[in-house]
Amino acid sequence: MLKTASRRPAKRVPVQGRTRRTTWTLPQEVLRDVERFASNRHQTVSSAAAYLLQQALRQQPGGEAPGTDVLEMLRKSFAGLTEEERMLVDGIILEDRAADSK
Amino acid sequence: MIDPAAGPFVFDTSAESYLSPAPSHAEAEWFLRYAALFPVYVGVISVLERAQGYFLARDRCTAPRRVEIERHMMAYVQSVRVSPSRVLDLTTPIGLLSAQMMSMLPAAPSPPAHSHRLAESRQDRLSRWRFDIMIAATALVHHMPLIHNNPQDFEPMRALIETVPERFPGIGPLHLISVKRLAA
Repeated sequence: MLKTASRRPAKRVPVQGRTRRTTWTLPQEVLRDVERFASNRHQTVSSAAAYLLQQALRQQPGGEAPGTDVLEMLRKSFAGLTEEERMLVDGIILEDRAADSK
Repeated sequence: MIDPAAGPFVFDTSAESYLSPAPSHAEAEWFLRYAALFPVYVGVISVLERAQGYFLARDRCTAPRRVEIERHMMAYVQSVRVSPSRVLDLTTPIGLLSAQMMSMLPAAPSPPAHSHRLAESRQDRLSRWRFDIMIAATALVHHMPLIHNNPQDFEPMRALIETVPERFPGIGPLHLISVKRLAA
């Protein structure tokens, strides 16, 4: 019987889980707000700050371009719609005139 | 011709659909070059208008068609869930500016849309006008030009800000770019 050495899987840290220690100077009131936020969510201040920064960055205009994938998704979202459906997704809601006048 | 590198721009609902897909090769090329440089920014109100349209289209059609409409809607939802976000949220400054413009331009500048057998109700036309004001306010607050395919709604807003700039301190001018000029 062939014996193979039992290999323990290498411990990998997921990219998103990697952390780096840093020192920032922040306004006291901001820091107080983050501490309060963290306490309310039963989180460490570091993970609360990381969460808040990620949320803020997602909303920030001027970030990197999401690329041309968006164009393909948009093309799929419109391809094959009828004229009336296309008007609806453009925000123009047309109703049947006969039904409307009843 | 507008240089894509002059962006970023906010795309009105009508401009985004005009370019998806663009009717000419030159316009498609322009959109591709732009998207490689900047996100295709839209206001959250455009997302609302589109989503409402997909829901209405789904409710109005037969079962087999409903599946297709839902597929289209999923593609659209994917397009606005990209990270970093391309959707500009409604914020307090946008709300305040929209309110100012709505109070000064209470009525839509053109009648409801219609076709030979279908017509837009007056309430829906008024909602669409107010949505357009909120989209313009989004572009103004973010200091980005607005790409549009709807001059009859956006030109009165541009004219208003130009006529009474003292009512809009620190805001404007509203820089409008017709979608048809992008690659012309």
